[in-house]
Amino acid sequence: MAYTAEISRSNPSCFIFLIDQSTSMLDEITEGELVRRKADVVADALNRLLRELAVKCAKEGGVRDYFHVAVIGYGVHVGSLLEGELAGRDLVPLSQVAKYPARVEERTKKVPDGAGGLVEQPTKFPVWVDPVGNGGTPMVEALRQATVLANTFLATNENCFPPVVLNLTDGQATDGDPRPAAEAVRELASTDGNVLLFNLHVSSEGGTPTIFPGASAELNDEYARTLFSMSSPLPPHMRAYAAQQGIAVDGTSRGFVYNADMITVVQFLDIGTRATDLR
Amino acid sequence: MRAFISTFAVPKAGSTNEEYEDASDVRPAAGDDAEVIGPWLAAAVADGASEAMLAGHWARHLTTTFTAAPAGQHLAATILAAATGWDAVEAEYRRVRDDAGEPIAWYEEDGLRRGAYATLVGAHLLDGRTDRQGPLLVAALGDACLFQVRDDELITAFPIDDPDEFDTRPGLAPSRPLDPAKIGEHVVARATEWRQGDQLLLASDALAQWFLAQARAGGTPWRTLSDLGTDAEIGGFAALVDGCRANGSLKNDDTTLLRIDL
Repeated sequence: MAYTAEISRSNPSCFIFLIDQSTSMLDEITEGELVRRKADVVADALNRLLRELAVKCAKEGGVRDYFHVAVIGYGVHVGSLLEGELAGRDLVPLSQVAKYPARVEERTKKVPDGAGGLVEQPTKFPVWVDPVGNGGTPMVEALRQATVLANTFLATNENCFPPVVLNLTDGQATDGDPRPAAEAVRELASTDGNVLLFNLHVSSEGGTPTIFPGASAELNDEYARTLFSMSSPLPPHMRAYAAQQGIAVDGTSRGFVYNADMITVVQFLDIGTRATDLR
Repeated sequence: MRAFISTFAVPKAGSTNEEYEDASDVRPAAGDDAEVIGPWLAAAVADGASEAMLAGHWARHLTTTFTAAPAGQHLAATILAAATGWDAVEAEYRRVRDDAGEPIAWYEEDGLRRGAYATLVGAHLLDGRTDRQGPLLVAALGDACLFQVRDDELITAFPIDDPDEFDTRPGLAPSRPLDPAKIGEHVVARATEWRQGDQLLLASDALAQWFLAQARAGGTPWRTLSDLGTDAEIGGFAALVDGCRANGSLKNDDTTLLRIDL
């Protein structure tokens, strides 16, 4: 139970994204001077996570299937959000996810200019999921579907790096207490460890953005406290990596983020030697 | 000097030979299992980073640039010289893809923009007062290693001598250096001496870590690597690698050995 399994095409892992699409996600939140709807924040976070995952696994000749990916929305319905060629499919090899976004937009991105500054560069930004806010918040059902998918994946990949379930939500479940359903998914395991459940909480309650808090964190929001309790403890190697990134973590830190970025989760996963610049 | 050169390479299990991203090179050009006679010898092993695009191209470019560089040139200067040619390598790759009707996809652009990364270890051997011993100049960036064995003893392990020091974040030579001065800060070099009868082993990280772990446990991994292909119990390099991967003593990674028997 060490979270040390090799992640490779012959021993892939999986990501199950759950995205809250309920009416409450249309509420606005303020990030500095920027006002955005929660639905915009989570759709953007999910698209960036999928993009990061594909770029991380890209080699000459395509994206390697180190991961299988499911994207489950929950609002009026609970089900796969993948579109086009992938419509209706649950767990899909990463290469297919990369090949079939709903569309690819042109955006600009700031990159180092080599002289200590930043310069804007055009970049292609694939979009798989658009912002939606409609209906209740059937989080319990979404977690139940994640349990089924993780169980299916584990049946044929028993020695894999454990599946990661990443839930992006404002936390206001309307179909019951999500904690037992969260526990059920966390109890599933490969020979390398239990399934990891991480929660990205987008809240209009304000307060300090928090990344991977521990037991001493002061969470001022009831939903945040619930989601924190549902989240898996960060495995030791992820804590070490977070610490290297300058994030304050301790032995009680959990995979929970409050009004902040969770892109680091993708960077936590070892698929071989990292491509990093000298420091 | 007289040196007998042998090179061995096995890709990561689950990868094809085309996906192998280590590289090795020797000058004067020796071919495989060949003897080199002359006043100097240059050898290098590089290991392209898994997460980088065109990592195998960069590893090959680094090793050939190293062996063509003058002995004693600072490794940082060699790496920067290799990086100077990188735009042309990328342009050629884009051209080949366009010609094949497979233009670069969005998920490849970030990686191509960042450039490739690789570790590198290289050695220059020069004749001294006689052709039976002389200066051995070694330099490295990252966790590819050189081992020197004399009289059945490991006398040099460079730049790493502890199997616990390997991880997935070694120092890497960049093909597009953001801060060229940083390369010099991370390069390490050592000047020592070779003698006729020595064995030099240049290895990418997985094999280097295995080698050091075996040595720390009291083993003689250099004997194992000397007897490749001649001892039926060991078999060839691929058999050794397969067996060690299966028993968990060797990480599943591209695995490369360049052996110089003096």
